[in-house]
Amino acid sequence: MTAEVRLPRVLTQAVKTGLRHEVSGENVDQVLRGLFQLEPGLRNHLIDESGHIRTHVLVFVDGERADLTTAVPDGAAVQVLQAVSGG
Amino acid sequence: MVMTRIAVGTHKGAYVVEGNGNEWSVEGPLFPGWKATTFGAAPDGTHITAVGSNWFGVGIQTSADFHEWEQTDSPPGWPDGGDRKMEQIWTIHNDGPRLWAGVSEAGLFISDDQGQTWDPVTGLNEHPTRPDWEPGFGGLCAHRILTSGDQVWVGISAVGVFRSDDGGVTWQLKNDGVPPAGQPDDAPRTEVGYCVHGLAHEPANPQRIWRQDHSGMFRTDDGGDTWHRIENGLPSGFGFVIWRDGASGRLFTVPLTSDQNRVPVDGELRVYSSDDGGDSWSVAGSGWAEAPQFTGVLRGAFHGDDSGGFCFGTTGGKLWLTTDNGDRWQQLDPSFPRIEAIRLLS
Repeated sequence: MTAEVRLPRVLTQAVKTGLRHEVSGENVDQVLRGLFQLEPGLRNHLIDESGHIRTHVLVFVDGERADLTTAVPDGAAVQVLQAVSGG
Repeated sequence: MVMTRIAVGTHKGAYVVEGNGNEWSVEGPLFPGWKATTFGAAPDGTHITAVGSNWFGVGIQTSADFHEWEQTDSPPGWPDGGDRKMEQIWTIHNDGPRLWAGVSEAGLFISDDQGQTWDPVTGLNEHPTRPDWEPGFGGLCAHRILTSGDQVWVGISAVGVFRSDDGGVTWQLKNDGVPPAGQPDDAPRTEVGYCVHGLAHEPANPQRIWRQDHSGMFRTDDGGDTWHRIENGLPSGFGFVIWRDGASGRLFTVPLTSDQNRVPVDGELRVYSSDDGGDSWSVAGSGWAEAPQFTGVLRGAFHGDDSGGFCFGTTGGKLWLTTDNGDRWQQLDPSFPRIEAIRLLS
């Protein structure tokens, strides 16, 4: 299974090779692990000390809210967004 | 005209201000959408900016020229599965071969590879008193680090000053003479609960340390074993900044009214300086605004270049600069978001 991971623009400074990546994996956890192989610095930004997706970070698979266990179909779009919060 | 270049770390990105005293250009924001919480330099001269985000945690950015930046892969971090959260990198200290980072939740980390990777300083981070550590208004943060040989001092709010005599392996609390935060001078001693705000020392005599504390301004001449209040001439003992100029030995601070009212007394924003080691203080030079300036100055928002240049930024986003060792001050025209960090680049 291969998905396209799309990252928010605010992470531009945190990546070395861009905001879109083709990554293999059968669920969000596997896809993100694949992403972190390509962009090691992103793990700290997307995953907190508890091992979960950060509180104010949202992941969608083909437009549906997802967690680490959500299945990722072949060709899916995995969108990472920041929650609307802050000031 | 002498060109001045200033790095400005704010709640909304970093900026580089450059000018000749009359006209100023602004580059930025660098790191848009991120807080720039402190600046540093690695032993090899690489510039470092610590950044943070309410959404995405902390990061370490490095640059050779303060223009092109690259994020490292492994900033300081608490172990997975633990209770602690890495909230902010408050300070980065270069002791020569090694970098130290102070963070919140409070802890120290060291790097021996120019800031690319960081290891926890276990002797401090797992100190026996840690269960009793409580945060101050700014969180539970390790925000000031001094080093001299094998001696290391770290200030943690609202815990106190710790000293290590063995390069950071073991640590002792050093707060005798300072009252616990919010308590009178004769309050009963407690082991922790001291809200140090700033530290500076004299490299040639590192046992002499100045301490801007929540409870006032203090000095030690024995490496922190005993502290004495030094507030003669200050309008208030409260504030965050203590800076010692390496060339002249002159001390600088920016008094604020009180812990409940963190703005200058009567709105008179002034740097105070001392030429006698803190025994007496007076307003530093001239050029201060006549109009009220109800704004604060944070602990990391004052920096000097040890050759007569000093700059500070306010929580209201304004910059103040002197290039003659504090005799004449100038407020610069550009305005910024809340300023948390300043570094004079040239």
